[in-house]
Amino acid sequence: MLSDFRSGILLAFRAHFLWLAAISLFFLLLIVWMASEFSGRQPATVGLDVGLSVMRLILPLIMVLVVQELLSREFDRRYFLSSLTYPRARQGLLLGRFASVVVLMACVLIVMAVALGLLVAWIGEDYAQATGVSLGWPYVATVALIGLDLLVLTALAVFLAMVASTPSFVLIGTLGFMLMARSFAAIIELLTRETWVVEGAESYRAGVGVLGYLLPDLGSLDIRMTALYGRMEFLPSDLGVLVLSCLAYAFAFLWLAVWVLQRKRFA
Amino acid sequence: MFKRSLSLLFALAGFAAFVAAVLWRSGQPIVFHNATVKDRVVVSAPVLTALYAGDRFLAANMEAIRLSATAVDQGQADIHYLVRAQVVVAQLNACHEDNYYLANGLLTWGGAVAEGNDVLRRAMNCRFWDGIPPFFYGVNQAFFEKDKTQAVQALELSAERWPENAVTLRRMAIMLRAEALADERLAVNYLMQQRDTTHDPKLREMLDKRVIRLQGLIDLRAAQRRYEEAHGPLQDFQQLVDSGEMAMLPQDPLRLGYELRDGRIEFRELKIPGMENQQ
Repeated sequence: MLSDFRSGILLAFRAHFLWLAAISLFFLLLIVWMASEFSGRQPATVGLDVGLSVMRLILPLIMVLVVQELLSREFDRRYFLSSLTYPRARQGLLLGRFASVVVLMACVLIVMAVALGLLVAWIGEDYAQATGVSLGWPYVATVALIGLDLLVLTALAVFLAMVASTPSFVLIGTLGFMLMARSFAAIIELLTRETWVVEGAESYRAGVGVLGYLLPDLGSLDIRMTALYGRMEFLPSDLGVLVLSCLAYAFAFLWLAVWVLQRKRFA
Repeated sequence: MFKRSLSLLFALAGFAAFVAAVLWRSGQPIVFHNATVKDRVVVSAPVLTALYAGDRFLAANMEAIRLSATAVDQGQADIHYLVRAQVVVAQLNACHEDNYYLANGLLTWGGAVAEGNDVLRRAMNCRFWDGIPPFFYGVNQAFFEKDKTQAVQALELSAERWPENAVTLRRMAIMLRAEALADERLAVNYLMQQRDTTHDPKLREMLDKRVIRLQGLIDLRAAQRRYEEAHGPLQDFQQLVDSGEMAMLPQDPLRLGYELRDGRIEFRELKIPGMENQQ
């Protein structure tokens, strides 16, 4: 398993992982700086806000590319002929590669979070806002929950890499799942308050509500208001259970992937 | 060899037919059917959330950037667009500071009082620590809606949240209750303060127009007072000029103008089609 972890890291570096991360970081900082220029009253808040949004979009994309490289390519290029030879357990390969994806993404997340924090602090120097951003514990907690969101998506992408026959399905499937899991709770909330938006909002809401049992509520993991406005009162009261449910969901999908791999027939 | 060149010939024939069809169509005159959409599009909040990958904060920021960058053109605000766009931003993220600030400056003081106050009310609820939205709201209630109780409540709330200015705010509330405050003086002071603290030149120009508009109202009311002391109730603005109280009537830079309502000179409010029956 350790050798799989190491080979996973090496494979990612061979696929220009560092370039990908560096270019993403550059665009993140550029977008944050430009967005903050548009704000008259709260440049640091808008910068942090847009930066967190861009991170939440760009990190899953990098993660999917790495998973494609480490797992889908393994079957595409028939590396399994040597990596899945007999005395080794199949799950070792999967868990080792999963660990390397998680470690790589955690590194990118931390580097991006530190760079974003420094840039926002620098933007905040220029203009004294009435309500400043909080870059202490609220920011750390927000970034940690973005990491949890990413962990759930990684588990799902690994599962899709096991069942799908083409690498592009991993991309489409993971991003589609991300879109639904992040938006359904927010859309239900908006529909509850503004019932005039669609006709028959009641039945529509009930239909969307079923999704709550199928998908984890990734939208509620976004606790950035605590960091944007520096007020801990914005924390949802059921955060502990929410974190637990997301961890359980990721755990379940990871072992489902192991189960699929053990029954996989190679042509 | 023959077969290969034949397939290329088929491909070329297909492209040639396509180009011929496009050429023929480009010669036809263009007919517009039902070209009735004149206003700008504002997407509703739930749809925007889905479009921005479930990220309502990003949606709110992008919409706020869009409206602050495009709604103000050559010093004139596109109020009909702003009325809808700013309410959508307030639904997505009611705490957005730029949004409530712009809504107060551009909507409420630009003639769309109820919509601007709606955005402010949402900001008051969301920003539970901030004393500025209830202060704006209180002044608007006193000045536009003439609702003293609500205005006093909002000012008290503002004083609670804003300890540095609590004394001034409480005094204002007391004066308002005693009806001793000339509301237009209060309004012009706060509008000028708002103008002088902004660093965006475009917004500064916009707010300057609102100060001029309000100054026109103050001048009109002063002239009305002088006229009524000498001649009795005022019927028409032209009487002010005829009697020599004013050299000429003040021009409203927003082109909305002033009107005489129940013997008192007020701002003429913007009429938004389809909105009147809701109020």
